[in-house]
Amino acid sequence: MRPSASGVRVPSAVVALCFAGSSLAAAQHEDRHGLGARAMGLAGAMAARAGSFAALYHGPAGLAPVPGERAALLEASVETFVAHPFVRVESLRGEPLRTAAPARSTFALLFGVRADLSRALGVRGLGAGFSLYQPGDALARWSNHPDDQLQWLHLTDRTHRIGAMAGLGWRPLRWLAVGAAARILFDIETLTVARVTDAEPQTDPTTGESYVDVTAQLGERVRAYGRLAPVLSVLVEPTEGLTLAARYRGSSEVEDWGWTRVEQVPAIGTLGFVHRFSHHVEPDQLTVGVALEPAPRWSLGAEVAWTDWSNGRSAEHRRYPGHFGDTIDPAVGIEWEASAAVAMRAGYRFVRRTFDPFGGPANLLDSDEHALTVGAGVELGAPGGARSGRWSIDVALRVAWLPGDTERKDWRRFASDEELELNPGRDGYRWSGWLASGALGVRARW
Amino acid sequence: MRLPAGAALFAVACGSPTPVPPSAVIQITPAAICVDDAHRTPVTFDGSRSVERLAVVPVAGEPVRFSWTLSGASWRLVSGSLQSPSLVVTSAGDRPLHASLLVTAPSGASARAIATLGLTVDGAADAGCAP
Amino acid sequence: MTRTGAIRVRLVVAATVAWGSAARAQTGVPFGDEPRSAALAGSGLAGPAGLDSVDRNPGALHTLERPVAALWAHGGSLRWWFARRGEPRDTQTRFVGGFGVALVAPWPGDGPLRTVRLGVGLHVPFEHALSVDAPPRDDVPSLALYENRAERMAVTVGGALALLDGAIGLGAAIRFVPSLRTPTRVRYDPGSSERRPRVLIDLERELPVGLAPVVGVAAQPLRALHVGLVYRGRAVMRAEGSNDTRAGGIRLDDPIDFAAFVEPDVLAFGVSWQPVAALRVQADAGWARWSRFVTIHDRRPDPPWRDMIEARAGVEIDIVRSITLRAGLAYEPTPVPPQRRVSNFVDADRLLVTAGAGIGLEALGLGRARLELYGAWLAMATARAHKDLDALPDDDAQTPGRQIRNLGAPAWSGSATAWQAGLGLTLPLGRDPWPADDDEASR
Repeated sequence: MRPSASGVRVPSAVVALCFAGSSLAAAQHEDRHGLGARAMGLAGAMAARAGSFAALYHGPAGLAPVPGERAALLEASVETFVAHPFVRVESLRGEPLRTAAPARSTFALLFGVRADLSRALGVRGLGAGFSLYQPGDALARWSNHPDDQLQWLHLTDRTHRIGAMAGLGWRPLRWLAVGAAARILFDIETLTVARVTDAEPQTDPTTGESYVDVTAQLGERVRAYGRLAPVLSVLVEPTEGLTLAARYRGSSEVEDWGWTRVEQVPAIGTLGFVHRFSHHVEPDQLTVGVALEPAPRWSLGAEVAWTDWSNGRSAEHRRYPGHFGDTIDPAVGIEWEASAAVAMRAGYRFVRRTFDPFGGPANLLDSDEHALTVGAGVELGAPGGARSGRWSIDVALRVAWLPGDTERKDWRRFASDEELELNPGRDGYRWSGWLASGALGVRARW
Repeated sequence: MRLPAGAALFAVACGSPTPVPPSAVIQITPAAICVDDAHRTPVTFDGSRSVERLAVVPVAGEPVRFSWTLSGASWRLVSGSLQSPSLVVTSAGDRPLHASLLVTAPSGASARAIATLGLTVDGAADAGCAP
Repeated sequence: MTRTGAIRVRLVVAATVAWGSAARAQTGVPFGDEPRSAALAGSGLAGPAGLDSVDRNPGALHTLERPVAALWAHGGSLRWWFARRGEPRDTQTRFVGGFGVALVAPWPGDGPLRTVRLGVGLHVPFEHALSVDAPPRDDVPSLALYENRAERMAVTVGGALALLDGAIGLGAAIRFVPSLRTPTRVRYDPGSSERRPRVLIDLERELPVGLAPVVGVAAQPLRALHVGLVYRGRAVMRAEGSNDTRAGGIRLDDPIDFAAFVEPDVLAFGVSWQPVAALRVQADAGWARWSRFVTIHDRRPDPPWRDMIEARAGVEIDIVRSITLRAGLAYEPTPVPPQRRVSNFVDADRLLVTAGAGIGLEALGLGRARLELYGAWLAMATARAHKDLDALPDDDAQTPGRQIRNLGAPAWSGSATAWQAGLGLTLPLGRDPWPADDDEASR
């Protein structure tokens, strides 16, 4: 789809401020669904495609103004995102099983901005982006559970949180662009103190158990720390119509740590515990991509991403050697300009599961994913006249199949018979499902 | 890469999980003294139940280091020191005496507990104070 | 410890977790303002539009003619001390810094909505997106207005509608006020051994978003005169949840219900006068309803705080075409009454002095951006408190008689100073002027 009549293949680079958060993403929401409706329609195969605020995540070199694009461009997008899982976890006898946290629907808003800063800062070819991703119901929501509870490794709310993205792209030469962006997530530290102020012996009227009814006063220290994950990319256009891309995404992680201390407990003194959860992990990733025009009005983008999942870990901050493995995920997206104002899109992405069942104490559910996407973009032109800004709409749908797997416990992997007996997944289980998601975005240009 | 929140926009660093802290415990005996006690009542500040690691079931681990800080009412040391597990002091009793105990584990992790020696200002006779 | 010997711990709510909001700190504190506004001591709600208008008075956005973005950063020191009578001062110094981004723009296009203006602002503290200390005791000395509120992330989104051919602007904005729900369930793993003890923790975090409104109007009755009126709704952040712990014989199963008062209701009026093209003088006065303040323990302070009227003023002079100098002054009377009872809030009347400059980079051949600089200094009078020992509650119900342990007894004094410096870039965006050919390419 052309953002202008001058033949620009894709909308140009951007600024984006993004509060990341979704409940349905293996790694980050953007990684499976793409940042925005256009990216979703192309199955996220955007590494070599410049010209939208989605470049913040998919390749910040694409934030640089695209040759032929209007100068001093400012674009702002408001998008909605919905996703719903249709998943099933059942015992080997076919009885449904509940997971510790349900796989829930997600509704979110995405706000993205990109700007050509060439004139503002006197640096030719400089663009910037900023995006904000906001789950519809809360700035963030997640739950952490012990690894031996039955739970989706990525599919629930592990990535439902605020986050932000900001970046710059620079095109020093017509055929070369480089870019850097930062994805911002937040760790949380909570230190809790309960000071016992009163104690009274009691007897439970139901069980007859004796206990001491203690009154305490609570204090809390909360800190939210920002955590930066870099995204670096380079775009090279050796010939007209061919773009090669390379991208590096630094690992990002969101942790939740702290301790709870109960002071002045009669006859005991101080009790407490320390917690440390890693409720979102996305390891380092390297991607190479290509965008080309195989025929007039057709453009094709493809990429292959290697992700260092062998450094992945569970929510309890555990690594299970040999069971988290690196992944190589391909994606391809195609766009057809049906007319000067309408573009149609389709794509496919395969996501290799990051954790294989191994019959041990952990009950973490993960699955390969085959995702098909379709999308469209409509340029609404300038409703107020030729001298006004332009509007456009993007829409995308995505359906992903999760073939799932089967888990059977191996007693040799447990420290004791008691540990196996107490494991919630001791009888074995299987899981599979579908994910459906969609996005709708409106973009304005000045 | 962990950063200060704002720095995440531009770059710098910070914030990491705390090591398992020790457990700092203060017991004060008696819990309060009479107002204007004038150094008559010896008061024990006992931190000996502090342990190396905060745990649901406290167990003695490696020895920890103690560092006491007293503020508020003027006080005199009767026994022990500000680096000992417990100490005995007297207080002028013109105001509460506040104790802060910093416990440091061999790992370097530390924890602080704060407690106050109260002043009995009313009901003096009930509390055994001279009316 | 066995189950029969279990101890039930009932948590009496006594702490609050504050989650940030508001695109700038309240009461004109120099933490977080956009540089131009900060250099003018936070005055200027009458307009013309600035990049902080979306939060300060969205009605003023109506004077905006083109998209403008700003990036800024600030850093400074907050130093305060507390001393009981006859004892040495306990002084604390902390760095407070942050970054901000704002974007304001007219509605794109020449259609019927062309009189609409939009804006969004984001402020992120440098060190912590959120920082809250809620001590378990009510009497811990604290800097009443700046303790937890200086570090909080803030997002404001708003818009304005120009009426009467741009003579009047009506605006509204919402400030996002996050809260925290954090149910926690803790169990001692019955399958764990003494050699490998294990605590099972199910921990949930949710940050629901509340909204605090901002409604404002700005008008230009005379060519050289702007006036404005704005109402900003109070913002209170909540921390709720439960702590259900059964571990090693302990049971904690009581709810958590905390509140953090971020900002009071404020009704403010401002005027801006431009007698000559190179000079602008502006002043604001605001009534802040501090009487609805609740402590971090979600209780009304005893005695309650007082409503206050604060004043701020600024002057802006273009000394040459590309250089503007600014200065500001604000007076903020304290809403905190004498601290004769349990609480020990350190606060007194405050004076804020600011200065700054704006430099057009075009004169240096560096593009159309403007560089904004400022410095600010905040001084507080010395707060003094004499405790009324008869009014202090019994701190130890288990011991005969009435015991007091108040950390401020018998009397104390305290004060604070702060300084801050910041710089920012103001970036005009979008095409200016629009060419006849909308699709003209620049390259």
